[in-house]
Amino acid sequence: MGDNHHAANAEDAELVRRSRHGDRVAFGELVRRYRRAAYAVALAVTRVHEDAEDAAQEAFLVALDRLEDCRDPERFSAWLLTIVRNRSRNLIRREQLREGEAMPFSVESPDPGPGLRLERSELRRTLMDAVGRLPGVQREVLLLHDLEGWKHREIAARLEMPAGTVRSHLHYARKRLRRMLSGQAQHLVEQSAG
Amino acid sequence: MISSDDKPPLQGLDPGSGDPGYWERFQARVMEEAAPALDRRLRGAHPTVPQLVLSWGRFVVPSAVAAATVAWMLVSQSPLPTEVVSAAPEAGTWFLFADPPSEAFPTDPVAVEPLDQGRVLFPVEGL
Repeated sequence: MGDNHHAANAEDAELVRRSRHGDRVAFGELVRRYRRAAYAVALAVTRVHEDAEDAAQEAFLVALDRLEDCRDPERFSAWLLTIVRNRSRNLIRREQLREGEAMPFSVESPDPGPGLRLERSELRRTLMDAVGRLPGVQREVLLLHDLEGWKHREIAARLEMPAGTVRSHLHYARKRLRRMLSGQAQHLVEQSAG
Repeated sequence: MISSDDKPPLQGLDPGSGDPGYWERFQARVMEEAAPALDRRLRGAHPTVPQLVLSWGRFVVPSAVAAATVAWMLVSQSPLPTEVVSAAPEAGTWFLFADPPSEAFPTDPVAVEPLDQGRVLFPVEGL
């Protein structure tokens, strides 16, 4: 309990230092802090839930193996997200090598029933299709900000770009996404009317 | 009119939105996979006595072997005297090479004659 409380208040650099010595609580705290961001970045690259999940999990294990390579532990998150991005790209390459396997968009979760499951799946598919058509950097900024709730300056620090650029990417990403989603909604309305 | 800066409804992309236990399971999977690596790091950070000895051995043994090799090479490369140079003893140092005259070092203490300094010092004075 005390360890957990201490870990929750510790700086990233301290957690990295302790993780290097095999401190399970410290590493667990790093995972807890950045699991959602890692997933968001992985999803921005892979656009597939299962791949994003795999890439994010793998990235944490790779990061643990290479903790000594993290030269600036205060910037652990930026370093981790670079690993996530690379793992995600590798995963896509591996998937592309497999011939024509269909990638269903679904989430492993307790079965909510066929109706709700279909609805969720449809919603995710629609959203991901739209998000997937955005440029990569806009996808990443959009997911980190609007899905994970990161602030502009946090994204700027972690993606190593000026805060103004982050705002600009976010603005254009939202604008394009809204246009795409409204177009799809219109299409669905027309379909149901027809 | 909706501003383009309004948040789009992305919550549907959060796997935890329809499954409250999702992120805890995610965490548990990562920690389970990470356990062996964390154990290795922990053992490395707090080594047992045998590990300490082994780690010392890892450093000391190769160092000793390297030092011995270097020493052997130095010794084997330095020219060893193959024959004794027989230089003629210089005057005044003859007593280092020649057998001492029997009367100079009498073995029988009873037969010791009174010291004749002139006889003993003569060769030295010959310098």
